[in-house]
Amino acid sequence: MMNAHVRTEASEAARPASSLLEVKNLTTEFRTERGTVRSLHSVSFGLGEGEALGLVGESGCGKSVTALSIMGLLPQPAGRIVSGEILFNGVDLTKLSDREMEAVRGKDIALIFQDALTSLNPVLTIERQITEAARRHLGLSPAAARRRAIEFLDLVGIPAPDKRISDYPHQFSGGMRQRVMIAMALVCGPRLLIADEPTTALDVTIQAQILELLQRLRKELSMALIMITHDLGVVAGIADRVNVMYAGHVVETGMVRQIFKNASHPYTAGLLGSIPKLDSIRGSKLQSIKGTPPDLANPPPGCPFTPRCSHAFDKCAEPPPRSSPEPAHAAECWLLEAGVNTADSRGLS
Amino acid sequence: MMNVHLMHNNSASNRPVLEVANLKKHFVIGKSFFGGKPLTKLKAVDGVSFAIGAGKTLGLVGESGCGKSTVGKTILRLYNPTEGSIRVLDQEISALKPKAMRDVRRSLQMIFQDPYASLDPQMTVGRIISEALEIHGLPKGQSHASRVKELLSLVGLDPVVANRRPKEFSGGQRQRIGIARALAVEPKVLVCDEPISALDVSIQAQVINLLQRLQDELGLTYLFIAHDLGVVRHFSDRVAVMYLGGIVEIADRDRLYADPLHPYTKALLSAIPVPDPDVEQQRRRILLRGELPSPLNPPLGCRFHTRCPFATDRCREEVPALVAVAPGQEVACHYWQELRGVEGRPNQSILETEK
Ligand SMILES: Nc1ncnc2c1ncn2[C@@H]1O[C@H](COP(=O)(O)OP(=O)(O)OP(=O)(O)O)[C@@H](O)[C@H]1O
Ligand SMILES: Nc1ncnc2c1ncn2[C@@H]1O[C@H](COP(=O)(O)OP(=O)(O)O)[C@@H](O)[C@H]1O
Ligand code: SF4
Ligand code: SF4
Ligand SMILES: [Mg+2]
Ligand SMILES: [Mg+2]
Repeated sequence: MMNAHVRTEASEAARPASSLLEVKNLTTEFRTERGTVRSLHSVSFGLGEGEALGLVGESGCGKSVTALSIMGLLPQPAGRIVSGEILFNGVDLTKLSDREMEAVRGKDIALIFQDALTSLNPVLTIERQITEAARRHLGLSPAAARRRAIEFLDLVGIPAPDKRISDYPHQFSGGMRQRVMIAMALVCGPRLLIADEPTTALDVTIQAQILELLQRLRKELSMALIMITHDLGVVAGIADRVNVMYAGHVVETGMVRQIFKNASHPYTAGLLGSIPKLDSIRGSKLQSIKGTPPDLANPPPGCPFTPRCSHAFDKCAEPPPRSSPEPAHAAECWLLEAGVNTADSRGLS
Repeated sequence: MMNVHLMHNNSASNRPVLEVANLKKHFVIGKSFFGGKPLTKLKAVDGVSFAIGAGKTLGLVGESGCGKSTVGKTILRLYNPTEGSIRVLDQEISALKPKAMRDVRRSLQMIFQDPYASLDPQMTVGRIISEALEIHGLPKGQSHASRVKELLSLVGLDPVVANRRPKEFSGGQRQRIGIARALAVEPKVLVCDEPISALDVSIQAQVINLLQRLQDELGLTYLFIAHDLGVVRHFSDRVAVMYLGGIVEIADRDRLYADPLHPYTKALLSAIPVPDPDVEQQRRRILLRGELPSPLNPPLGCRFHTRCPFATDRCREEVPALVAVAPGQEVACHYWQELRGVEGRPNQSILETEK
């Protein structure tokens, strides 16, 4: 019984065999007028070749800062990586020069944002924008870059790509612009795609098209994916593994079924309880979590979830260690360390 | 005493508290001073009808731009209807003058999606709420202050927050303030326009629980506008699905989710991501081709025909009427019977559907 709770190196257990990306104890801060904001607290996770990782949590928990830290795109000079390593194919990205990082971005790792409208340059044609990276990173001739761009527009389902490639972004609908963004991200054949809320601005039927597209491309191009979203439904469909973030901490990590069927952290359980179930009784009360996430300029000591947690006890004033209730599954909560199953105690409370 | 009360309630619940019939709102856009160019009509709402009984909730769903907010704002008479009838507590309000409308707004209030934009940043929370009381000529002075406190407690805020300003509050708290303001005049009907869309999941659940408790305690009637079909299902007695300015299907919530009849309803239901990996990774989505057509130039015939996997020539010419097909269920599709139980053409590749 106690043996199941291996306290040490839980993240080792959760790590896939062949590691493409290894984030180790990543801590990122911003200097703001209200003082230093620690947006990531010693975040660690790994990602295997071709694997899909979901990054979930409420707004401000550090999902985008994780993406920006990996990409070397933290706003300067306010943001900086304080400590930690980001190993991509064994190379620590935090140690690369701007120029070296420039070569990784777009070529080996690509990022797409929530808002395709603002991410595309309105005064340049789609052709200009999509061929630019292909010429720079792959050294293609203009004609070859154009052919490759058309091929990728076709791949993401833009009809008549040889004609539409001469259009400007405003001539495309929201869903099509998001497809163009995806084509642009993929044109150099990255090994890892980071998608930061790629469907949040889209309607649900268009979201379904884009999610289906990402799933298909990921398989066809055997590319790893980090899917950032606050929508647990999206994660359930696309992720192999899930990191649940809260106030800059990865509070729980595990295979997608472990997270959804056997949540170990009270925050994860609370999030899942906050979503109406399809079979819920009309008018039944949702579980909900009291209060709001903490102000990161002034976080509570110890476990960041303490003020909202219905299980909090005296030990929670200290930072909880990572414990592993089962292989590949780990959470930062004192209850686990003490061998208490949150799912059981939830029934009692 | 008890009996009289019950009887009264019963007879009241037989009559709809809010009823709209053939409601239309057309916006005139592209106004040209030089006369040459004809004015264009944007038919944001084009013939919408529904009724909501006392203490009940009608969910109104559909994708961005289909006309949900316009329905809500027209009912509140924030827009003047182009055509159609709006009855609130048996009173026809579609043509009332502003002064008469002010009285109606004592029974009819609205809460908005954006809890940031909808509260005046200069005013204290207490002022925001007591202003609502004053506009409606409710007694001033001491009783105001105590009513404000009462309202703040009702929505789960500490009454001491009355002298703070909106910027000191989180999104969920601001939405509570907006709800307190709407409830100040003791309305019977609340139009909720995406009241939780801007909020985080855990806060959404708090606000849903609050709205539900208020409905139980105060007997409120809700028109609940949302694009999240999971939330609507949790919250509503009946659900209406809109597409490009019209209702394509309306039904009791269990019927709609168990046996959707309109191809658009089916596609919409199959597109919602469900937070369950077993369901998600097995399911076959109905992928609609293309995107929403522009409401400036809506398709002729059935408005859905450009995206419908089953469209025929008839659909391109003839507008399907919204007809009752089962108790409590109405649908606007020529082929609902033939398509019953047919899910659409799932698992089509996007390339196929696009081209
Ligand atoms: N004041 C206005 N003037 C002109 N057109 C308008 C106006 N208000 C809304 N529209 C148009 O009417 C249509 C319906 O808009 P509405 O705001 O009702 O959509 P909605 O269903 O609430 O969408 P969302 O889900 O994005 O809130 C849209 O095409 C919109 O651009
Ligand atoms: N440019 C910035 N300057 C200061 N603080 C920032 C900046 N970007 C993000 N933060 C802070 O970092 C935290 C995490 O933000 P973010 O990663 O964007 O959240 P999300 O999980 O919603 O993507 C938040 O507290 C946010 O306010
Ligand atoms: S460590 Fe304590 S406060 Fe934090 S989640 Fe676990 S029980 Fe709750
Ligand atoms: S009327 Fe025709 S186009 Fe419209 S929903 Fe029915 S089958 Fe589809
Ligand atoms: Mg973000
Ligand atoms: Mg709206």
